[in-house]
This record gives sequence, structure tokens and C-alpha cells, in this order.
Amino acid sequence: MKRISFFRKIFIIMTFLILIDRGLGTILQHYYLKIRHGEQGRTNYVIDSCNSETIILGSSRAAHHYVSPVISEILHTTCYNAGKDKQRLRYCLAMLNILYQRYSPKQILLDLNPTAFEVNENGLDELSVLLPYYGLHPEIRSIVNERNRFECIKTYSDLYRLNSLPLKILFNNISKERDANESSGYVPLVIHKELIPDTPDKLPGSLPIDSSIVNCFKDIVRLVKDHGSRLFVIVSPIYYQLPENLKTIEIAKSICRNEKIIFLDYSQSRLFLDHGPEMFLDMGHLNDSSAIVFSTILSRDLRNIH
Amino acid sequence: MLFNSFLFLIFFSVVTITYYAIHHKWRWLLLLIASCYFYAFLIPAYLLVLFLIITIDYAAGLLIESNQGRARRLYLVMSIISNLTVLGIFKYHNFFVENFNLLSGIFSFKTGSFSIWKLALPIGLSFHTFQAMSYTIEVYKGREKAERKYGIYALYVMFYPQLVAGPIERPQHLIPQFYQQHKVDYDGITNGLKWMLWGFFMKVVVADRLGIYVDYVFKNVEVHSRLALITAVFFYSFQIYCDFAGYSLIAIGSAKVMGFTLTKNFNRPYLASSLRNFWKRWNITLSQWFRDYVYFPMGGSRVTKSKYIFNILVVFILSGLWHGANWTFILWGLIHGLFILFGFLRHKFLPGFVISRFIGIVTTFLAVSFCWIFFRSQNLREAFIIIKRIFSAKTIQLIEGEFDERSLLVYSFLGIFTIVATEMANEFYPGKFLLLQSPKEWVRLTTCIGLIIIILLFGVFDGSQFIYFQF
Repeated sequence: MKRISFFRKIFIIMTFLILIDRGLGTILQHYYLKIRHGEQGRTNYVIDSCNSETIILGSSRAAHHYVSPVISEILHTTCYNAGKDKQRLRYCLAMLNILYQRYSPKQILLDLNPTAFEVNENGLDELSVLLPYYGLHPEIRSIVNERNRFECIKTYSDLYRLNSLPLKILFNNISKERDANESSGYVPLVIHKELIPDTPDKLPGSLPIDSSIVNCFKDIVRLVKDHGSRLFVIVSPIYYQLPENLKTIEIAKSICRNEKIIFLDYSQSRLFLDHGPEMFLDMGHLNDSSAIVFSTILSRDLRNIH
Repeated sequence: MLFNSFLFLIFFSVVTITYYAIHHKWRWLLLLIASCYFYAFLIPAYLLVLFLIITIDYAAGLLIESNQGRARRLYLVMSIISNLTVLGIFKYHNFFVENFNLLSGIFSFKTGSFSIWKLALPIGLSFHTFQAMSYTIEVYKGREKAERKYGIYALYVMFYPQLVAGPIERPQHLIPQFYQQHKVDYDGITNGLKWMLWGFFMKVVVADRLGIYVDYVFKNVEVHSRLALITAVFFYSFQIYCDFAGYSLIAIGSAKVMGFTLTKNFNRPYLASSLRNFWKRWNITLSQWFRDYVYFPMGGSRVTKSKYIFNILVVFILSGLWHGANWTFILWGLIHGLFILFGFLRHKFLPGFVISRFIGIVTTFLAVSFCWIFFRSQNLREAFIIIKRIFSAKTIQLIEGEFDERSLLVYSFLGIFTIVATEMANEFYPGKFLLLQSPKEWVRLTTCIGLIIIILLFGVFDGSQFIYFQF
């Protein structure tokens, strides 16, 4: 009798769980995709609406260093900054996979972190930002599944894919902030988050190169070429003294040389480093006004290349 | 293997089903193999360290029992020294070397500097060495017979639910359970699963969520405001509680599903009305270990006042050192000891001064939270910076940014509110407001479904470690 009661309870719990998971998951996803503000709004816009000729991709350094209106004006093109905080090359590859399902931008500006190819001790947790799109975009599933070996099982749950998002969905759906596409995706940095020394420190000891990240970079290069877009790989300024022959930069240069991709390295540009900390917000990021300077210099260089 | 990993759910299901499927006489072997797999998941080589401890203490137990007089004592001392040597090598060697080198530099000893060993600390080493030591001590005191079966003794030390972070079990409580034939008990299974569910809620929904903000602030304490630091310390108090108590509940629950009863390790510690009462509610099995094997043998409280003060301070400093080889832990233990002595002096010199229970709970919580500053800090400098900034910083901004962080704070406060409300209901209105244990079936089922939905929606699934694994 107890056995029947036990399995009856398990059955009831499982049935209701599946129903709630599907029902609540569908509602939350609907409202998630309606978000047009902040981080989620920018990502949604890039995925379902953006048709700019120039797309900027990369991590927070991309999001905060490339002032898309400046680039648009100088290059006479439409430009959207799709850089995203805490993201790396796998995210860029996923975004390109999604974008190319809809249209082919004319050019891609890929910001490369000087340590992008090094092993990341935090794993691939940051790819959770792609989970809400997992069901709608099969082309990114293989990338998201790299998070861990059970990801393909966990993603059967709709609620898991929207983990930690209900409040963001609520806040962003009732927010009166301006739409993500109005700022062309650029996010200015104005608030200091850490203390910066008067002179740049040496970059902390490097980690081994992760071949899967290098392969991801090669996949990006191949994907962009296959779709006829022009790729520029750019290393934007950083407030560290980088050693010569930094592995990531050397490997990226070599791949770009072989694939005839233009590689622009501004990481140690004296224009930025010689002014001490005043041009930087923290060790890895330019402040808003420096980002405008950098975007202007970059755009002029790109114009000359064109 | 981590309890909060998907792999554990698979592991637990397979082990439990197999456990009930096979004959009783093979179950110990299944649990031993499963425990080895569980432990070896991160660094397999450390199984050798574990088996070294097990073999020494197994042999010591037999030798203690079969000898008389000084020989018994000798084998006990050898066993304890062996266990402490393993702890010393992996956990304390570098700490003592660093401090010795520092002192020899200051006072210009001509000893030559000792080198630091690059050894990873075996997970939960302090827990299972203490559990192993309690076995030999109990055999020595004649309260437990030496275990004849090596496999059963190995399982006593390695039983996977409590292997890496306790509860620290006594042999007379756990070993007999390995001989009992556990039949499928659906009530026990249901209760065990409920405890596990609540443990998962405490860990992934509350502790790991709070940990995001705590890590954010503690990563760079010098730039954060007073309010941010106070919030981080307050959050850490709940993070460490939900992390450790959550672990203990998963451990107790997963053992219960297989018919084993483990000792309760937490009893609403933040509702303690004094520091003395707090230590009867927090990490109960460790407190009892120190009480029975260190404090009582030193004379406990039935000694002169100066000796009593000495005993208290020694026990708490050792407790701090048990947690980690760092001055922060030692100071953490020392301050706890001083607070206990302060309570003792207040009782002695102001016997008529009685504070209400509410004030007692609040002041105890504040004192414990203050001590957590040392526990969480990387070094003493960082701890003192936090304390200094809490009393001097001027800005009140909590966190920069937009909705991401706002939602994080909302989740955090909601999590804390849920824990506090549940604990207060259980403490002050026992038997009322029952959810998981409600007499009404629909309430129990709805609570289970609700908790699973909340875990799926609001849990942090980054596979973060349990804080106490490092000890």
C-alpha cells in the first residue's frame, strides 16, 4: 500500500512539474524575447531585428570601447555594437551563427582580448546567457552544450533555460528606459570599479593556451569568410604592460596572416598608455571619452584600409 | 563529486536503487566502492591518503583492544600522531613554514629557509581524520569494540554522504548501522528526499546566490562603501549557514533514503540567544568532538577560573585552526572564545542582569557575523580593512549597474527572508505552519513541486563548491 502511495506521489509530482515547466516556461520565454532594454534587450535586438552593415563582437571590452555612432559616421555605414560583458569567443561564434541565419553583415569587427586563447579557469558558465535562445536557435545548441556534459539533458527543462531571469523579465518589461537599438549597442562606462595604479602593471602570468578556443577563433574566421563578410580582428587598448610575443596575439596574428584577415593591435598604443590611468576606467577598460577617441582612430584606420 | 551537480543526482539514484536491489551481505561493498568513486572524482590519488589513515586506525583499534596498560596508550598516541601528521603535511606545513621563515627573517636565525610544498589539500581531510580519531579514542576508552572487518571500518570513515563535510559521526552510532539490514521504508525514503530537497534549496537558491554578491565585494574590499560591506558580511553569515546546513541536510537525507540515520548537525543557530548556545546549534558534531576529546580531558569547567579561561581559549583557537591554516581562522576562533568568556564574566559579576531573548538573539547574531569577517577574509589585513571601512566609509551606494544587480539583491533578500521565516516558525511555533511535514497531502505535494520549480528557476547552477569542503 505504501509503495503504491509513494509511486502515486512521484507520478503526481512529475506530471505537475512537466506541466508547469512547459506552461510557465512558454510564458516567461515570450516576455523574455519582448525585452528591448539593457543587456537582454541588446542581445534580443541583435538576434531578431538588427540589420546593420557593421557588427562589433567581443567581450565587455568590445561593448565599452567601440562607439558605434562614431564608427557609423566616419565609415558611412550602419553599425551595431553586439559586444557583451563577460563573454568570450564562443559567444561571438554563437551570435554569428544566429545572425547568418537571417542576414550577412558586410563587415565584422571582432575585439580580441589579449589573453583570449588562454585556459579559462571559470569554465563556460558565461554561456548561460544563450540558454533562453536554445530552443529557438538549434544552430547554437552544440556551443551551449559545451558548458558541461549534461547540458543537453538539463535543457529539456524550459524553466532551467530561463534560470535566474524572472525578475529581469519583469523589470525589463516594465522599464521605461530607451530601446537598445537607439544607442546602437554601445554601452559607455562611467563608474569606477577598481583602483588603477599610476603606471600600467605587467600582465599577470599567462596560462596555457586552450586549443578549443583557438579552434573556435578559426571557426569564426571560416564562418565569416564563408558568408562573404569582411572580418577585422582588433585588440583594443588595455592598461597593462603586455609582454612581447604574447601567445594569444601571436597565434591570432598567424591565423589572420594565413587567412588574409586584417589584424589591428592597439593594445599598447602610447596615445592611451602614456596618459596614465586617466583614460581608463579600470585595468581592462577605457572610459567613455577615451572610447570615443579610440573609435575615431580605429574608424580612420579602417577607412584608409578600405 | 559535488552534491549540487547533475552527476550526483545520477550517482545517488544508481547507488540507491542498486543498494536495495542487491543482497544485504554485499551492500557494504557497494557503498564502499560508491564512496571511493565519489571521493576519487576530483583527485583520485588522494584515495591513497585516505586508505593510509584508514589502515593505521584500523590496526590501532585492534592493537588497543588486544593490549593492556601503557601499550594501549602507546597505540592510541601513535594513531593520533599519524592522523595529525597527515593533517600537518597537507594542511599546516606551509602555514608553519611561512611563519617560521618570516620569524627567522625578522630575528635573523641562521636556520636556512624551509620550502613551501605545492600540495592540494585533500577534500574534507579534517572531517575524516577527526572521525577516524574518534574511533580510536572510543576504542581506547572502552566505549566501542574494535571493528574486525576492514571493509566496514573503511566504510565508517568513507561513507559518501558524510565523507567530505560531516556530520562527524561516532563509531557506536554509525558502524552498527552497516550491519543492519535496511528494508525499503517508503516513509524514510520520502523524508530523506524532502530533507535533500530543502538542502538543495538552501545551497543553490540561497547560499550560492548570496555568494555572488559576497564574492563581488570581498574581491575588492577597498573600493566598496560601508553599506556594501555590511551587506556583504550580513549575506556571508547566511551564505555560510545555508551552504553548510544545506550540505548537512543533503547528507542526512541521502543517507536516510538508504535507511541510515546521521546525526543532526545544525539546529537553527542564528536563533541562539548566546554564543554558548550558538555552539550547541552550529556544526554540532564538531563542537561535541572538541568538547569530548579536548575540553573535557583538559578539565572542562570544573577547574580554577584561570584554567577555565585557558581551556576555553585553547579549544576555540584549535577550532579555528581546524578550519584552516591561516591567522584569520585562528583569530576567528580566539574572538569566539573571548565572546564566550565575556558571557561567563557577565553571568559571574552581573548575575541579576538578564537580557531578553530577542536582544540575546540579535546581539549573538551580530557577534557571530562580526567573527565571520575574519573567517571570510583572505588575510588579517583584509579583515581589518573591512572593519575600518565599515566604521569610516561615507558613501552608501550598494552596487553599480542596472537590473542584473538589482535582481540579484532582490533574490538574495527573498532567500534570506524565506530561511529566517522558516527557522522562526520552527523555533517559536513548532508543529504549526508545516509545509513539507504537513498532515495534508496536497500541502506536502504542492510544497515539493514549488521547491523544485524554485530551484530550477532561481538556483545557481555553476557547480560551486561547498565552503566547508576546503576544511
